[in-house]
This record gives sequence, structure tokens and C-alpha cells, in this order.
Amino acid sequence: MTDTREHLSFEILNDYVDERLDARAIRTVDEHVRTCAECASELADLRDLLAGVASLPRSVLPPEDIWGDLRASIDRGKNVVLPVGGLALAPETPVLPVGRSSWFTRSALGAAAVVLIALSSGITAMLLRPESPAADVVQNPGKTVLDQPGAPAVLPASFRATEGEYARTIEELRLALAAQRNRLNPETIRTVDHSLAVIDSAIAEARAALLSDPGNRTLVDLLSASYQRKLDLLRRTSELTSRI
Amino acid sequence: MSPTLARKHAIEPMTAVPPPNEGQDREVDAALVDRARSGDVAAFEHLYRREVGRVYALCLRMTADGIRARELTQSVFVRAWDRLGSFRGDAQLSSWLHRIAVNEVLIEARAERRRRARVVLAEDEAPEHGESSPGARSDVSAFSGITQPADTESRIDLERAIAALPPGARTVFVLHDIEGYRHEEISRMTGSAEGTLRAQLHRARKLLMEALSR
Repeated sequence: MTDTREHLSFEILNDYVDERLDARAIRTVDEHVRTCAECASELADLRDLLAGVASLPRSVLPPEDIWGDLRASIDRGKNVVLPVGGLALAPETPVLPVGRSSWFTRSALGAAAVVLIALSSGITAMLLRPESPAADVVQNPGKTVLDQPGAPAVLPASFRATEGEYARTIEELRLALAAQRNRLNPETIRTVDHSLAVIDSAIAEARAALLSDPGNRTLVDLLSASYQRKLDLLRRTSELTSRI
Repeated sequence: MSPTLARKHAIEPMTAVPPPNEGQDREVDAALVDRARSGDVAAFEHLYRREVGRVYALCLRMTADGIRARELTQSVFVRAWDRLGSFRGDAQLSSWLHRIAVNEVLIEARAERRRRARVVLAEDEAPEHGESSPGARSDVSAFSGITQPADTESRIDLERAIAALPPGARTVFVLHDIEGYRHEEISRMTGSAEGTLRAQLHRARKLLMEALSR
């Protein structure tokens, strides 16, 4: 750079605009660009670029509000139900970003969270509704829905609808996970399958008990918790696949 | 590059949302963070609404992919919610969030490179030349809705040129020239030597000047 008859390198020009040169080097650049139109033009272009970049907005809102999905993620984290087996993640385990391939899974998970919230509210509303036979049973533990006139000999109708929603959501998650199954190692797959079988067994037991005692709020909660545990296991397994 | 580049890129300040956190009272931040730590989602939503624009802009420029940027932005705030207990308040909340966002993008980028490498090996294909990301697509459409009409063309040109940079050069350029991180900070975040980063930055600037002069 001591020879001002040679063009300045692009690196020198960059160091110049970034103020990384010492005083002597700065003087050399200043002298050179006064007499070299080519370097002066390149320096001007570089400065123009940086001026343009400096004026770009630092803040850009997403095209659509993502708070709803974010809120659902937070709510899922607040209601962690650890699955059986060795797949449980520590509650503070951060959620790693996932690629586009898992977008369907994420959508399904978002839907699952919404369903869970709706189901929880629905079950509570069903049980606490003043005119509800179930509420009556809760207030009178010795009395069951079957004792009411016209009581069904099957699951309470409102829970049948709830169960249908659970089944649909679980199926969506199961299909999403099946598409990524080959990303898990065989031992993990065996563990997941075993855990799902245990949860399915718990669901079957709770369901059978509720069929026998449709007004039993504890059994409704137990069955709901078992379904939720299954959803959670599927969700966590999906997260595992996204980290591989 | 055209000598009129100065006029072409003398873009009026265009912020989609007001600059976040500048002039904000840290006590307000501290109060909101305390409430959020105790499980107050409304307080966290307030913080989210204030900061989401900067986080999303960073993710979008670093990935050049609107869908990934949206996912990453969500991950940043989920992680922030999980980690609120570790925020000590000696830095601005926006800086703390920003650092989480940079880490999230870099982690995701590394994972994406590993996934691509496995796919290439599995398919026994030659790797893509250079650093260009076959999975990435230049997505500047997310910027277009917030511009003032007179500035749209030049700013979109610039955003498009940035999005088209090779990933490594784009990362350094966004972090240094747009977000204002120093080379030593970027070196710590990326694990790359400062000399390498400077070379990447110069390369990015050169490519941008060439792209904008066409």
C-alpha cells in the first residue's frame, strides 16, 4: 500500500471503512483515492452499500401473528406429563428449532394443545354443570349417573365426544410420527412402543372402569390424564426426531 | 456498481414497529420479567409483542427463509420463557433475547448442514458446490408488506441480494453490518477465527456490490 500507483485492495478499503487502519495507513488511502478514480469509485460504492444497509429496518413483524402457537407451546410446557420409560426430558430442556419437514408435526401439536385446552374445559364444564347428573354425583358420592332416570349404560355422552377428539388428535400425531419413525434408533422405537402399550393399557382400564361407573369424576380425570399422557409421549418423541 | 447507488440505496428509515426497548425503563422490564417468571403469561406476551419484530428480522435475514424464520422466532421465545430465571437484568432484555436468537439460528444451521451431509452421503451424490444451501430459498416476500411504496424497490433489491448470499457470508454480514456485532463476538458465537470472518464479510460485501450494480 506504500505505492500509491497501485490500486488499493478491497480488503484495505474494507478495513478503511471499518476504521481498522492506523493513522498512517489512513493517510495513504486518503492520498490514493484523491488521485485514483477507480479506487475512489469502489470506496464510494462500498460506503453506499453500508449506508443502504444501515437504513434497513431492524424490526420486521412476521406476516402472521405467532403468539397463538407460542402460547400453546408455553401451555404444553406448563403441563408436562412425563411418560413412562426412559424418554422423559428434563422440564428445562429447551425446545430446539425444527426444520420445515416437521411443520406438519408442529401444526398437529398446536392443534393437540388447543384440543387439550378445550377438552379440559369441556370436561370441567360437564362435571360442574348444575343440571349435570355427573355434578350431582360429585356432590353425592354415593349416587351414580346410572341411578338417574334414563341414565346411559355407556360412557357419558359428553365424554364420548371428548374421547373422539382425543382419538382424532392422537391419530394425527401418530401419523406424523410414523413418517419420521425411521429417524429413531431401534431401541428408542422399542421403548416408545412399550410406553405406548402401557399407556394404552391404562386407558383401557380407566375406560372400562368409567363404563361401570359413568359418574365417577376421578375416573374421568384418570382417563383424561391417560389420554394426555399418550399425547405427550407422542409429542416428546416427535421432538426427539427433530433433534436427530 | 452504479454511481447512483447512493441515491438508489439511500433508503428512508422504515421500521415495521417502533425501535424496541430504546429508552425503556429497565425497571419496567424487570417488573415484567418478574411477573413472567412467576407464570404470568400476559406479562410475557407484553415482552413478546415488543421484541418479536427484531427477533423475526434477525431470523429472516440470517435464514433467508420466511417459514424457518417463523419457526425459529417461536423457538426463541419458548426458550426465553424457559430461561427467564437465568436473566439477571444486567443486560437489556432485548440484547439477551437477541443473543438467544443468534444461538438458535446458528444451532439450526449446524443441524441443517449435518442433515444435508447425511442425505448427500446416503444418496452418494457430490456435494453442492460452494456454500450455497440447496434447502434455502431466498425469501424476501416477508419484507415486502412493510415498506413505503417509494422505497420498496431499492430496499427489496438489497434484501434480495442479502438473501442470495452464501450462508456463511450472509451470517457474518447480517451479524456484523446489520446487527452490529464485533468480529470477536461473532467469533465466539460461531467458533470461526476472526480472520476467516473478516474474509467472509469482505466477500459478502463484494457480492452485494456486484449484485446491486447489475
